[in-house]
Amino acid sequence: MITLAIDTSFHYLTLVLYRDKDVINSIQKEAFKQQSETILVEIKALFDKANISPKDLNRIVLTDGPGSYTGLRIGMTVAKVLGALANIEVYTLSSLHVLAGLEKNVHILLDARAKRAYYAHYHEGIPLINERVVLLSDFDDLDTSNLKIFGDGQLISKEKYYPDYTKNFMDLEKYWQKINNIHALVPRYLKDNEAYHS
Amino acid sequence: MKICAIETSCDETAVAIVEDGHTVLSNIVSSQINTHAAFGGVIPEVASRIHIENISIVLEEAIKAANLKIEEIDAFAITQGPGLIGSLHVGLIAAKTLSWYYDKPLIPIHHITGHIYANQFVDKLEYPLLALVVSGGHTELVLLKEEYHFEILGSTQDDAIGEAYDKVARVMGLPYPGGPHIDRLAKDGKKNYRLPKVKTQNPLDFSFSGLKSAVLQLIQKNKEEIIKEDLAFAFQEAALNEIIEKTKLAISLNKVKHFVLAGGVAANSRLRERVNELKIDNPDLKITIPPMWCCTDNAAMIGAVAYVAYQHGVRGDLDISANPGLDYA
Ligand SMILES: [Zn+2]
Repeated sequence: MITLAIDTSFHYLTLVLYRDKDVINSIQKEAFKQQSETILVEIKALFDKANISPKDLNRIVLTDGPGSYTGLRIGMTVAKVLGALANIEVYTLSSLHVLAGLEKNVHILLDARAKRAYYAHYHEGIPLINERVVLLSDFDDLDTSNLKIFGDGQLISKEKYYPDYTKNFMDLEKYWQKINNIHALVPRYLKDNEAYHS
Repeated sequence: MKICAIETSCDETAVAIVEDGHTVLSNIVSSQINTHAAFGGVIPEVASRIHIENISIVLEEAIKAANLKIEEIDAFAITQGPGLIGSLHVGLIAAKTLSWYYDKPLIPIHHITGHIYANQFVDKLEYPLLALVVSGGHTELVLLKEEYHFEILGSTQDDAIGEAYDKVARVMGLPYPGGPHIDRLAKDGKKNYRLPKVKTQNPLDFSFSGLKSAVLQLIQKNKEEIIKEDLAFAFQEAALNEIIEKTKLAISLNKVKHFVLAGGVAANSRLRERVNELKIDNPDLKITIPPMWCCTDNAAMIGAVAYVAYQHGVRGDLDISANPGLDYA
């Protein structure tokens, strides 16, 4: 069973190739505004290096949001095209969840711009507070000194920290959502119904 | 050679399968026009969102309608630009994914060359060829001294002609897109209002912003008294004079065997009539007008030009970028 994991929801381009539960090859690199140019080059490199033919691919798991609108559409286009035309099974996972992995008691904070953030709280993969959009000012009166924060902690005067999350996709397999109608798959923009202009 | 072509540069998600550059096996277009009409124009973020919703189903339908297996496709062609960046991305990633997965060549295409080569569906193109490209984004005179060799003789210094039509339609209170409404109203109009002639530094360049301002002044001066049909007539004749006169000049300055019309505004009935004037001074000139189905954006035209581009060695790697300001090949 060959699985390709894709995350293009934020500044990173993360791709992981699994054989069953094991990571064969992976790439996680800063690719802000370059995801469109690099994604297929890197996917090809992953398969070539592992000597695996594209035809051997069985499944794709991708983050469907929240995140950068353009970024989300890049990974999702790959998944939708292969899901529809090559009969590859497609699964989705939250972009916040994958950062958390099986970490204990971790808060995920990712920049949603305009003084807002995407936020969720997980413990060993279990959501304690589901993903949502929060105002950064919501943290003003909170004592955050003991909080473990992954992602854009710098937004609330903590450290910016992105873990290596290549293993996390498979660790969270039971949270994957199977996509039964590939044509209906769209990014979860989350902070929606506001201006279309961002 | 069967080419699967994808076009997502603006507000149509389009996929077509074209054989040898002239036989359309399928041509699927999913238009967003109703969505954008509600906003009074194309909103880039909305366009991108609709492309990601449509891309897989339009692809699947195009393959099905051509009665093919995707494995039988020989190459994938894609509009690389110009266009809206977020919209171009969706088509480009789709084409790259297919090129990688099925191990077939990728052919990047300039959108406007597709409009020009759409004429291949009705006529054999002969060179030197002059194309008058008129659309919502472009107004250009393009000379092809030989096959797949493009030289811009003149282009608009401000608005594209289609844009000018839309803006004038808006101030006249007509719905978006305004071109067809003005064309229709003008049929009942007569010579009544005078609009100024425009001047450009390069005699083959175009300018429409002065015309647009003059229309606005006319409306403000005449208020409710304005006769819409006559105004539509005056604007349409002035705008078309501008492009027909410059086309005549371009033909007189260059050896041209074949003239073709290209782009969305090529659907304008009055323009289709007026290009015949070119015959007066150039009785031997071959003139081709694209079929109506292929004036608006579609992927069949991308498939048509891609076949020619392929013969000329055009190939794209997996790292090519969507390019909103792409230059001609
Ligand atoms: Zn066009």
